[in-house]
Amino acid sequence: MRLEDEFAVAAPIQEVYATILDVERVTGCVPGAELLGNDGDVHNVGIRVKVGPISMQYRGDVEIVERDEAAHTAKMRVKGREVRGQGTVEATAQLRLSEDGSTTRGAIEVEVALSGRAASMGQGAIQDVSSKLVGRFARNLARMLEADGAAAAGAAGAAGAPAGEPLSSDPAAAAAQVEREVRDEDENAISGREIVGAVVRGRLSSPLVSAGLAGVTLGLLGFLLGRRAG
Amino acid sequence: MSTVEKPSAARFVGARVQRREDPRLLSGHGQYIDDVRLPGMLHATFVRSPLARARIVAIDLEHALAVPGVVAIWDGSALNGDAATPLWDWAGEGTPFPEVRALAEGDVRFAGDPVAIVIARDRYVAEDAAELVDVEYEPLQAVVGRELAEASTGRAHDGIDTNVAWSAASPTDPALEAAFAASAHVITETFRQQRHVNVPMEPRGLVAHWERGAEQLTVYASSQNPHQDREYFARVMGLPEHHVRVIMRDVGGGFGQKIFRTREETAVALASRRLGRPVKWIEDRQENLMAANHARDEQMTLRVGVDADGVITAIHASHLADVGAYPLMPAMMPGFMALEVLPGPYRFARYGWAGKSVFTNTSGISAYRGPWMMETVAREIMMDVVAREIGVDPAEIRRRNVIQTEDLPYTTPTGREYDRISPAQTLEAALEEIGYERFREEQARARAEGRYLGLGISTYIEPTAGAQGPTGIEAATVRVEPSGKVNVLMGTGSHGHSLETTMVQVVADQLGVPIEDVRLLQGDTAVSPYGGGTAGSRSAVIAGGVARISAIKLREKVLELAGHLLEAAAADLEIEDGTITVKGSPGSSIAFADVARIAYYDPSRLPEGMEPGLESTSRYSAPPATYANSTQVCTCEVDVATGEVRLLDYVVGEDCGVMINPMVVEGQIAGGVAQGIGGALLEHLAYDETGNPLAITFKDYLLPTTEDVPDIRYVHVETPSNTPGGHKGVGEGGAIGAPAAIVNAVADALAPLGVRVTSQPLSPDRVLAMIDDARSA
Amino acid sequence: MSKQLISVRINDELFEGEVEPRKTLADFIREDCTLTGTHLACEHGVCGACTILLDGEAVRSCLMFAVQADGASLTTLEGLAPEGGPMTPVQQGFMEHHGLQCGFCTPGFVISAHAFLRDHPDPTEEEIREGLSGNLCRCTGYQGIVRAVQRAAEITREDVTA
Ligand code: FES
Ligand code: FES
Repeated sequence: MRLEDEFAVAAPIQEVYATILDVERVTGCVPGAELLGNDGDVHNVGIRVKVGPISMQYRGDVEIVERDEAAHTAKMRVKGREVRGQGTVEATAQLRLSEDGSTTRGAIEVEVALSGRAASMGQGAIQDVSSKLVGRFARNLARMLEADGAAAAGAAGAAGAPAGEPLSSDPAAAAAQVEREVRDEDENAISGREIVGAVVRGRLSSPLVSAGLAGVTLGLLGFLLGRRAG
Repeated sequence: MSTVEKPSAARFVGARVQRREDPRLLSGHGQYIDDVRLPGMLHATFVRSPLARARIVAIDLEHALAVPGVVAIWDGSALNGDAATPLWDWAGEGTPFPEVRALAEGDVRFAGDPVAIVIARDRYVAEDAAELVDVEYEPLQAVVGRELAEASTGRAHDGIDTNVAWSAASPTDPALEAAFAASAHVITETFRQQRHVNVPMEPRGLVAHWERGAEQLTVYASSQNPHQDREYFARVMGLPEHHVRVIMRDVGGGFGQKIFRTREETAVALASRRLGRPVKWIEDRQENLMAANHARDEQMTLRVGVDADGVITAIHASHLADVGAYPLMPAMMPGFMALEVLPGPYRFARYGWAGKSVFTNTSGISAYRGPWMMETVAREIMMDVVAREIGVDPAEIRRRNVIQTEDLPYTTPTGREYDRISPAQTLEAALEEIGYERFREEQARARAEGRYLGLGISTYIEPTAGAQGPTGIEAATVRVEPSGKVNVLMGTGSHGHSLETTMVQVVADQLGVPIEDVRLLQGDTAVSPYGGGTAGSRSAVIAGGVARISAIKLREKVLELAGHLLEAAAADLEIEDGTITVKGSPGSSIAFADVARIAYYDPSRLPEGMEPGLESTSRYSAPPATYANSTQVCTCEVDVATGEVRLLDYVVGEDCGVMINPMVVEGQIAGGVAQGIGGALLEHLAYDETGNPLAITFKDYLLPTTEDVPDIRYVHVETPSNTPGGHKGVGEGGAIGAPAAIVNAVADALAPLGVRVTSQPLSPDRVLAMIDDARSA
Repeated sequence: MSKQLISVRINDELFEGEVEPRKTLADFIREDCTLTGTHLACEHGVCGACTILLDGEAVRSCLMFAVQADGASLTTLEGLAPEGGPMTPVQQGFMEHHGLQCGFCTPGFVISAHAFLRDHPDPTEEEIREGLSGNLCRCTGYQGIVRAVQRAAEITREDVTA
């Protein structure tokens, strides 16, 4: 399954790139993601997607395959499996950043091979919901950059900052706020309602659809993590 | 014996007798497989491969075994050696077959392939542990797709260096080619049918109990044929057959999926023997859709020659089937059966065929209600294609080709011998009932208003009650107990077929006793004589036949004894409602119950040489096939804006010979038609290109509901067969005929738009796509 | 997993049991209370076989946890008609019109039909079809089921006017 998505962050390309390279921080921007450890170029990550009563956890390794800092591109490979269950995910993720005035645009292409329940139940919905996932990542990223800006300049608000609680002017408080909001988002990475709309012909919106999203998230994360490792 | 007349006192046969099964099933007191509870019983679940094709690198059980309540976990290398390998084998010259084992060993071959069995104190614990079994896989290229398999560089199986499981063709026939050359029109078209699943509402399951003391394996099975199960478990587990007992009680549907015991069920029996405790396994719906056997997934290309009037001169059929990884039938079966039955209800002399089956890394194929029905799908849609092409009405083209009574007996180009059939009559009856001419007028008016109505016809002859091998015979022990109550012991495996009612109707008529006094005991190998079970539309013909034979035999003994007691000739007696009377002298009579009591308790009053007791056992093997015939006609409206197909009217004209219970006959037809509607409009077990099944819940595998199946009307034509009682099978016909009727109706509705319909399911998105394609063509 | 004590009234009998919070209501009814007349055909809320009445409302017992039914009053297929007593009009209708073959879907249909007829005592065929479209049957093609519900409404009306 091939997924393509785009996002925009109102921050200079170098700044976006640099922020993304900070793996501990960027992990927090990926809904439901957690960095578990590093072994050179290989990063051990965990992903949790929770919808309604069902939560699915994946664990896997992310490895950088290609990287071009000048062109702001990178490519990674991800291999993971369900923590409880037999499903697997393999993904290749490609990111390309480009400049558009004061905005940085990111294009993500993820080629995901899922197996298990996620593959059987999620594929239809994943396509529709993945953009929400990417959108949320972009929003989290923008917020983080905002918080950085606040920390550096002692002033809040990068241009085009996404909606949300205004950030505290205290850099430390702003950072904590972002972290908290990101964590809250993790608690319900994708809401049940978003899934319902995505299930086109179903008679019932099964919460298990969320399973597939974990794979997408992992692919997204894999791409992001790899960059810093390179 | 004159076998075709109706029973002497037909009070019950032919009547809409209410079912004996219903009171218990309607009050919640059925006994399905998951209702079985034995002391000390453990629960099994399976770790299944998420990948369609992969090498198993390592299996780590450590975390799973640590879950409290887990009793044992075995993978293939630990358990398979307990059973004979292979579990089943249909390899032959030029027809390779994989080595079937209970659990995957070394590699996995479809998503859902069982890799390990987990036994625990309850199912929740078993499932917890199964999630923690850590299997490392090395993915391999999966072979997926009926039309891609042969050329794939991957291999569905290790050790078989081709994905072609079977391939054969009729010899080159110059006469066939000459017939095509002489035809006014030769039309070629390919028809495709997607992968279905039988979907019994009760998924698979069993309870296996190795009883150490008795050295007996007792299996409670959700099955269609307990005696074949007994033979299977004895063989694969190396047990003497008389140390295996199989019991099936209520079974929540099978439709072919429960004919054979499968790899999982084998693993459960092996586990029970190892543990010396009862082990239960109940499949969940996701497993059933993913890993229980599938069906259909085939295509047929027809080349049909007709003369200027649309009379068929020659047909060539070629069939391609995807049989999955581990088919539960020989790989040749789907193609061979379809090609052999294809000539169907039409007269023509020149026929050629070619068939091929391929292995893929998908769940294996098994029988599903009319497993050869691709022939009707292809032939009947083709009849409409030809009719449209040469400008003949679709009813008319069938009239010109259908076998008439005066053609009988008739031998098809494939050697099937028809007699006592009525395809022309059922065709006309169905057309009349639906109001063919009137509909055509209504259709024309609707078209003028921009509405799209259509009518579809499907005509076919159904071979029923195929009698050979393990399904060759059926037996009935009819036993009058000392009180005069009657037990009938049979090897049938009714699972929704109402045999507890219909077999009793047959016996009660012959013995002249009240129907409440007769009971059928079936489904227990320790109780019933050997029988082939319930599949292949065989029960009415073979089981109904032998119930009748056995009851007649016993009736003769009852009358002989009664005559002796009444000092009258047996021939002068009649039995009615439990009383035996000398014809014409009502004062001279004896109660059936008194005769029974005397037969057991008062042997001195029996005639010289008569054996005490009242019991008879008969066995009966039917002819190789008994032919039923039918025409289904339906009408529909297609909403060209939404792609929705709505069925408006549905008529089935059917000749299944003498009906034992018309209510049951109609129920069988309706159930089959509904399954055909599902296949035509909704159901599709799709795989993605890497072999992930994409419909493993009822949210994705769509079954027809009350809103999809219209009212069905029936016209019965009764041409008795030449088997005892004159019955013909009726279980599969509904499912065989429905898809073509529906496809033809949709094609007829959309004909003004130039739409061609050659595949299913006709879901709204696909209908819209076909309309778009036709518009842009 | 820690267990919770619950008490549920089923068919007018009080059942108390210690259950894990994750145990479904269907499993509690079938296993702990050994009332196996409630069937499971999908365990994901689509087929309706597991339908029971919970405080009079038709619910899918596979989609509820047993602890959610603590203190509730349930009716399952076993409890519709008194033991040994006459069948309900719905059961009678199913019997007369061949509304079941294998019987596996039957508990859900019969219970759903009871709830449906309570709210629609005089339904049209269309209303019946819509009202029961959330239950799946693989055997009957729904012919006998629709007629059974029509007949049940008729019997109920006769009973009332008699
Ligand atoms: S088992 Fe509850 S809805 Fe199917
Ligand atoms: S009667 Fe068998 S599923 Fe409904």
